[in-house]
Amino acid sequence: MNNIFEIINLNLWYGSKQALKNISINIDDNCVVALIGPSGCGKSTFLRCLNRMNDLIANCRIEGSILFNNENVNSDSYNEIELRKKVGMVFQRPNPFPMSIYENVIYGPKCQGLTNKKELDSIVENSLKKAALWDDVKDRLHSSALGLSGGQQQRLCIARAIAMEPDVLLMDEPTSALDPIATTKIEELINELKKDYTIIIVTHSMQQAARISDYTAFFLMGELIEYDKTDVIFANPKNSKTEDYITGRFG
Amino acid sequence: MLNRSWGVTLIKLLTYLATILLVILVFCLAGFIVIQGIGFLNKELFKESVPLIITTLMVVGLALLIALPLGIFSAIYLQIYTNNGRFVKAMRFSIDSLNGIPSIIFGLFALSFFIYYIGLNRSILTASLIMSIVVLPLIIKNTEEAIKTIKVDQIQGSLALGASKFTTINRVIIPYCIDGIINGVILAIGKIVGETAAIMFVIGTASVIPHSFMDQGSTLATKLYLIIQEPTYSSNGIGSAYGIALILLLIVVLLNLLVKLVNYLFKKRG
Repeated sequence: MNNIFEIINLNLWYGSKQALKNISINIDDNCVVALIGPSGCGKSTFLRCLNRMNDLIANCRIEGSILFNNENVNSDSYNEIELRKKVGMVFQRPNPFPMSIYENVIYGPKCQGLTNKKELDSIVENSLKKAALWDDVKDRLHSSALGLSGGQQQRLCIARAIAMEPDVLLMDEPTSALDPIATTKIEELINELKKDYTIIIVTHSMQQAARISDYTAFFLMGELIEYDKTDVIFANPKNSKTEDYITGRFG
Repeated sequence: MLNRSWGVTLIKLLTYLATILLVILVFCLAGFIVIQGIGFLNKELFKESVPLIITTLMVVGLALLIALPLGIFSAIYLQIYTNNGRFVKAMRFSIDSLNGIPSIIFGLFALSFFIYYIGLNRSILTASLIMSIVVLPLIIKNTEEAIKTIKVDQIQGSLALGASKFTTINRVIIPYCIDGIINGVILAIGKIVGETAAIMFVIGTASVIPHSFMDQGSTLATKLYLIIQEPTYSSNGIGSAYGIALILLLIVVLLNLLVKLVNYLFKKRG
């Protein structure tokens, strides 16, 4: 397997507060990586480094290398827009645009200048099928996305990200605002999607990490404590802090 | 002692009375103008007011043409491109202050700066320039408030899809701020149509149909001011003041309806 992401000595500060300390981690192609840890441990911050969403935050300073397909994306010369086309993101709360379902899916491709109606139609159909939403919405593609349920909205956001044909999907607690049934659907979807994409998912739920991921990274207070195959992390972690966390002694 | 449900009833009653009072007030005001003015709406007044209406519309159009892009872009800059630094605070303070300056001061500034210092002639152009400054804070404030209601999630969602900041502004921010912008435009139209003090020194007193923005003219409001001060300015004396006032009200209502119609058509198309 290939390393799609190779992170070397990543440090991140918000103003004078250090939020990530010396993170080094390799992420393989086509697998699901779960980032776990208590609130404020830096797992979301780390995720946002991978598509440079931290650029939007004033006073945020990042040092170290983030190699994506062997190119350092943590440099001014790397175009963050190109990066975000390859590395899609799904957010904690579903955030469809107040447009039709169809318009939501083609937002990304349209921004790239794609206007051919046939191509756009097929992008919409393929993306929605991959996101397991096609059957729910095929008869109302042109009605507002805001009329969908929370779980459907989140799958629409996944379809919207897939429409860009990215290599990687970042998911920032994608099920924390959803009910258990919708959560199950998203988890099944992640299982399907990992055939085509590398998925890096931040989750609060250790059960979720155990269910869906191949690898798990445990973060604590800005440090990467342990990173290994998910069964190893949950069956016999090497670090006592990891063990304490997954057995529920804190967090 | 008042018990809880009495308190609730009392507050309900007070809000109800206040609303009724407001509605009565508006009807009295409008009714007074209509009753007084309707008798003077004759051919003569119509002839007299055509140039005034045209001049007014010209000032409204040009002032908005200048103030709208400036205001919308300032608002986007303030909300999207800056963090809350000292410079931005100073800018906000200036905008708020601009909103609080009495219009006679704008009139004085327009006269001394545009006419005496820069050497522009008294004209519709000069009046439009000063009015664009007067309404700028209205446009900026309303646009800013509208931008604030767009969720950060959606802006981030757009950026995360590889859209540039420009595209995000164009496709996510502006379309969903349109109501706020329209609100600002309606307030601005009211202000421009009704403004006297800020423009009366720089627009002249001509009452003929203007041929260009470089011509002098009178708006409905400045003419109204002249007639009230000196009824002999009009063939009908003080009576035509009521007539013009009525036309002025009608113009404001019509322009607001027009703006709403444009907004409706824009939304239907989008």
